[in-house]
Amino acid sequence: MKFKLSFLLAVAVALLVLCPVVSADIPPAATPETQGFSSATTMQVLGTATESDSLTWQISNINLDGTLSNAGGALVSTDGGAVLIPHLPVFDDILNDTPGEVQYTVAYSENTIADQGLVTYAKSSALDTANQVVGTRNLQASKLLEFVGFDTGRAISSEDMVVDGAGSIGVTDEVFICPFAAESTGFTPEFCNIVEMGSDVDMTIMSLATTVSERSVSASADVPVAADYSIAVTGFGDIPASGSASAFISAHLQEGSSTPIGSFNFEPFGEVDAYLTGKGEDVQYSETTTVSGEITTFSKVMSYQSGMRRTA
Amino acid sequence: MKLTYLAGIILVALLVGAAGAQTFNFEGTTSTGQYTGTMVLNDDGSRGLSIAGVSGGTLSAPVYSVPAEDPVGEPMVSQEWTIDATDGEGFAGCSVVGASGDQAWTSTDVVGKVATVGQVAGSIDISPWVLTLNGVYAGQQISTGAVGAFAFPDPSGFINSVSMGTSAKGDTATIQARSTGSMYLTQGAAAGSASVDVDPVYVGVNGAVAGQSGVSEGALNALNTVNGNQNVFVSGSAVDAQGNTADTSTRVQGGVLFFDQVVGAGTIDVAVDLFGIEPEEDTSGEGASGAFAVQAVEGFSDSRVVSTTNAESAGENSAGVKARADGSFDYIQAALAGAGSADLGSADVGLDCALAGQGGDFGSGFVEHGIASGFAADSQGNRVITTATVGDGSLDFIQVVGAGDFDVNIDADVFESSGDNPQVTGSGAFALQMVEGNSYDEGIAAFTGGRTEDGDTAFVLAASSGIAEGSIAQFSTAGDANVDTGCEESDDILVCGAIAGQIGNFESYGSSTDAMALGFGADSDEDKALVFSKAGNGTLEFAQLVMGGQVGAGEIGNVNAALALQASNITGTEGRTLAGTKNAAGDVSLVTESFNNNNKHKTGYIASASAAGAGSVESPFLIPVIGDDTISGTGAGLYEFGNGGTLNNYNMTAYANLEGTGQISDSPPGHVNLHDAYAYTGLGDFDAKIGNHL
Repeated sequence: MKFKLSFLLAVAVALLVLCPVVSADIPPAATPETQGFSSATTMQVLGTATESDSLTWQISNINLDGTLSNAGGALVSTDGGAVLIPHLPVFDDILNDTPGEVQYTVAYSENTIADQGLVTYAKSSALDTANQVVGTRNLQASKLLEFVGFDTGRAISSEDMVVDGAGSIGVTDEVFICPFAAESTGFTPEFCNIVEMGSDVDMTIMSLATTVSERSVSASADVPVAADYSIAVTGFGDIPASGSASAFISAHLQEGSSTPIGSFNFEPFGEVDAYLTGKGEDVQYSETTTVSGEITTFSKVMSYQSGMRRTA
Repeated sequence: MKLTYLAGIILVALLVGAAGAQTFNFEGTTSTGQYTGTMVLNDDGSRGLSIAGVSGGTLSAPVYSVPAEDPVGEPMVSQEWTIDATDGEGFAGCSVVGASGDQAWTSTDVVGKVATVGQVAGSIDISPWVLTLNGVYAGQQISTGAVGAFAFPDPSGFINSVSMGTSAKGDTATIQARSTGSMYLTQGAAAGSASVDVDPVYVGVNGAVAGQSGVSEGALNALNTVNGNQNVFVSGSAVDAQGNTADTSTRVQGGVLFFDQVVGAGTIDVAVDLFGIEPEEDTSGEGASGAFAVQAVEGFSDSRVVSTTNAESAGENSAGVKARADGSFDYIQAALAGAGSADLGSADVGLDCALAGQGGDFGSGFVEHGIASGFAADSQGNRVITTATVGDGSLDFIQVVGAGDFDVNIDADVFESSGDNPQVTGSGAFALQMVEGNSYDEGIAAFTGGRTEDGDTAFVLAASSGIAEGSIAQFSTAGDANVDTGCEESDDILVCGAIAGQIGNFESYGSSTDAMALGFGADSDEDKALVFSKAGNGTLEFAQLVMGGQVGAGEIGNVNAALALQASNITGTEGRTLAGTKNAAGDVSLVTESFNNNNKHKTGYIASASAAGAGSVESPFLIPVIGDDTISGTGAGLYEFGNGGTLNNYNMTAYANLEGTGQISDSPPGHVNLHDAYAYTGLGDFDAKIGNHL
């Protein structure tokens, strides 16, 4: 039964990661001044221990004003639905190279209370607002909680991470380093993607380990946005964990489409590339896994990656 | 102008269109400018876009509408703007793509000027009047000011208008007008299939075509220039899918230019009912592929006007004409390249060639310097050139040059012949010109010549100095031709060489004015022949024919030599005629006559002929003055007629042959002041002179 559960989880996660959805998050570049901080926490307590963490991080490549502006080099039809990318001398002067605006909100929280028991707690957290590359993360946190409760002792721990991004129309040439990116489309369509991952445990005895990380800031769109979360619950030796645990992922992914119409020729002055655009994809995904009772093993790994040039 | 009709046909095509299925509008203002546009997507896959923008200026609805609306239907896209780019740059363009992939677009770029632009573009499938069209089109009308305002052209900025059409199979036609001054322009391009049926001519084109008609004035003090130091530049070019090209252009520095230009490329069929014999085949534009360019220009240039029209076939045959003048001008140029075919009812014509021609005048008002020239070369290296110049006067001219392969099959019924159809096939280059001019100072000159790949050469030159008027016709060919007369009794005529000829006259009005005519021929074996006539302060009438190479005409004659013939009539205070030959072995023959009767005009009529060859001149028809059917060496002869054309029964010949003997004959009475004739062989065995210099 446990094998079946793990198998199903693996299939579900694989579906989320590998389905041919058009995830096209465009990460914003870092602000000129960046910050980095980290923390490490270790507790070994006989009695009560608490941990409460909270992070909300918003970033925009233009202006955090609640609105999105299109790229300066793209002409968007007044009623939407069509985009022109002019390659004409006059329009080089009229238009500018302001990128399509993207805004991201990253939220992370953890609340842990362990009371009337033997508590061992260790956690490391780090946030770096600088540009990241494939393989590195803006936010990373790892937690290890071991708890053996007394008669009425309990440990409650919840963790939640949200990556919420939205972007307007951009010009592919201006946001990608990859020279082949523009071959697929001359502009990057609008998108609005939110994904949330986390877990809740309420146990009397357990060994709990979680990792959480995300990447949403990079110098170019060649680096996809990513979020990962994992949880593992075991007992101690032959003694199983006892209580209840759950982990979840929910996502609502909305992607704009880009349909090339072709170029309108204006030689010798240049040409105008034309595209149709609209809402091309809407994915809503929700998955929650719950275990309760005597738990020998509970493990769940969730990954999210979104971009026009993905590695997974 | 004559091409206005053709331009009008294109404009008719620009005025009809189809409705769209989806429409998207674009508008915006930035810190540096504004833009607007409309995109239409049709259910059949065709699409159109109009777009306009200006930086450092404004777009506004024109006060006076530039007519771009369609009286018959709706274009796919259209726009009309007054672009004020006085302090910046503006652009307006319409582009359309047909369901079958044909494309057409029109656009204008304005820098430092105000221009009103009306543009349309769409797809079309109609048969108005004599025209049938199925394809896409784009056209525009431009005005930088009201007509008549050209006396004060704006010296700042420039305007550049371009229209192009490309067919799905790769034919392209481009038309362009650039000016630093004022301009009023109608311009358009189309791609697809088109046919014009005007009895007795039926033309079908499947490809791309572009044309423009307008007037522009550029000031010498313009702050900007186009194409070097020119103020007005109009051009067109066409390339078909096979690589045949044709282009035409005119550039003016400091002046006014009225222009019409049409270019096209694609598969072309031409049918002409010349003699009431219906063409056997329909012409639907499915024939051979080619490209053409035509322009008609007139105006005045303070400094210089230069026009060129060229064609080059995919088979690397090329032909071009050029006109250059400073002053008033009015002429038409045309060029055609490609592997074309035409059913003329009475004749089938097949061509893989390049052709170019021009006709018109310099200096109907006055021109300080005018030059008209043409050049053609075929892929085998046969070349011809023709040129005419005038200084301080006027010049009317017609020039045609061509190069390549030809195959002409003529219906024998035309000649009421019971034999086979006559056929002419060959490969080579040809040039001809007819010029007529007046010079008030620097004279008139005309030159036409040809040279084959093997070195056969023939050219003719006529020139005058000072105050004179003249009329000259010249031709030259270089290459091979095979004429099958279709008659059993007649031999085929084979030509392999270079031929040139001219006929004309000069009349001088001032003192110290000379007129001359010269013909020269040489074959590849270095046999050479020359005829020359000159008149001082009088009149010169002349006819000359020179050739070098091989001509096989059976009983008519067979020549492997250089040959020169002339007849001339000279009056004035000074005159000279000369006929001379020299062959590769060194044999020389020469006859000359001259007079110098200062301040006394002498009237005479002089006919002279000269021939040279390496023992294979066999033609009593070609060299009658030599009095021998066959010569083996060189020969020269002269007949002179006296005043009023009275025969003085005078002839004089000299010839030498390769056997080392020479002969002269002198048959007085004759009364010439100076004359001599001599001949000697290359071996030095004979050297004799006759006449007053004996």
